[in-house]
Amino acid sequence: MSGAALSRGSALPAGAAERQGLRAGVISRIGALMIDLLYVAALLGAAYLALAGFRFLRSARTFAWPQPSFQETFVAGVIVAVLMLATGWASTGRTRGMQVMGLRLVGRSGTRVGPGLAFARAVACIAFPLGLAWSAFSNRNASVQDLVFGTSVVYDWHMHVPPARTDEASAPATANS
Amino acid sequence: MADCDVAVHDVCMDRIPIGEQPDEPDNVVQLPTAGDVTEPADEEMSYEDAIAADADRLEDDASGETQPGSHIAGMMEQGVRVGAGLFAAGASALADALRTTIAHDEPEDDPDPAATLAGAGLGAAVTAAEAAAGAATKLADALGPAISWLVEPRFAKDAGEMAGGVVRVLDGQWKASQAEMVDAATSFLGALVPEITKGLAEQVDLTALVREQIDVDAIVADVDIDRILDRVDVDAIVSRVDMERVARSFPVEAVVERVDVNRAADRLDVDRVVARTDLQAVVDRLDLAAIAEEVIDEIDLPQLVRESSGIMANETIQTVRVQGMNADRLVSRLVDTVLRRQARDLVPPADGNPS
Repeated sequence: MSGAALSRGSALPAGAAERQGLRAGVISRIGALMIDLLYVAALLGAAYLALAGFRFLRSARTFAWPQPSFQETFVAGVIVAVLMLATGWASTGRTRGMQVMGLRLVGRSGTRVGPGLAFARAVACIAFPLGLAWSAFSNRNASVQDLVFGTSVVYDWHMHVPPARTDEASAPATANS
Repeated sequence: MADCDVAVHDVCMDRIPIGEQPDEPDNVVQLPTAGDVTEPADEEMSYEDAIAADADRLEDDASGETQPGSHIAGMMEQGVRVGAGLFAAGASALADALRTTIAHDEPEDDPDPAATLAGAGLGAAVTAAEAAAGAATKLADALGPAISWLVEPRFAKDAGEMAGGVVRVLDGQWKASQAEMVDAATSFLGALVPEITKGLAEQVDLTALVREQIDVDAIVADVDIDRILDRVDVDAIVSRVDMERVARSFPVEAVVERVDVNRAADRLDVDRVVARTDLQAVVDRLDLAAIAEEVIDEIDLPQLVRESSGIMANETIQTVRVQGMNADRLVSRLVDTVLRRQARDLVPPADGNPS
């Protein structure tokens, strides 16, 4: 999905313009999570093919398709997912799935989160994905991770990148539970 | 004509072939002289003889009898013949003028039309003179007793000689100055006629005169336009026209400004025009491959495809997002309804104002 295509959608459809900047609901966030998982799976598949190609180039006679175990695959998936989420939140405030769904992660004051906070939140999301379900019942559409790290996921279809704050790294220490 | 030596009334027309010219002119009227006058015999005769004698005398009057009336008749006949001679001289000049207008390569054996006309005029004049002489003789016979002193032998002789001399002198003067006078008259008329014509043209409104007196429509109606057009070589006329110069001087802009194109377009039956057009022939003449290549180069088709794909993707994404928003709102309302909650706080914390 190209960013240029998104940037040309200057005219927002009816019902979407007035909801920009508000906290997003559980359905949109689950959709973004699913897209992120598909993206992680695609990355794992690409990594698998890359490994197989490397093996083929290294020894074509003894080439055999890699046979990773479940544990290896799971660990690789967790690592890829954490890195993908952390990188996305720390850079633009959104992952691939959140970009498709028009969501953005912001800090306490509505600014972009720092790398440490992003990494910690990514680990928390992978470790306890059901925490996202709490956004359906929360009065502020907040997941468990949002409550822990003081973050919010809002509707933001625009392509601008919110400014970062230097005190974002200390957010987990001050977040209420 | 200078070497022509004839009688007074004998107009020398060396260019006019009026039959064979006799050595001695037979149409010369000899003026009576005193010696020619003879007294008629005064003898006793019967009534019948007197009647016959009168008849003979009347017949002899034309041949120059010396009766008193015959002298006057001869003079009148001579005057008429002189007038006819002058007319013939004029006719000769006219014949010369006409001859100059005719081509000179005509054979000499052919009769000259102008000369023939002049000869005819001369013959008519002589005939008229003879008729006038007969009438004058009768008139003289009637008036003879009253004017007998005029025809006394002595007086008649003197008058005849004087008249003959005068006539000969006048004829000689005419012959001598004929060419000069004709030239003078010709020059005079040549200068006068144009002036008269010009003056008349200035005084008379010919245009109005033609409009009032001439039925132009009737004349035009009698004109066979088709016959005229058949005789016109339009191709030759067109070939002589400098179309380039005509096209340059043609006020195209002015004509276009005066043309109501929209009105003309409204009157145009496009369907009929298209139906009569051989579109297949037009398409066959088109280099579609070159046109397509040129169009692709002009519109930057790859960029267009990218933009189209982006627009389609953007519309798809917007649809998914809107559907997600609606689903979020539906779930929130459902949960809030179950939990008996009024509304959610969806406004995130602002800068320095955490919620």
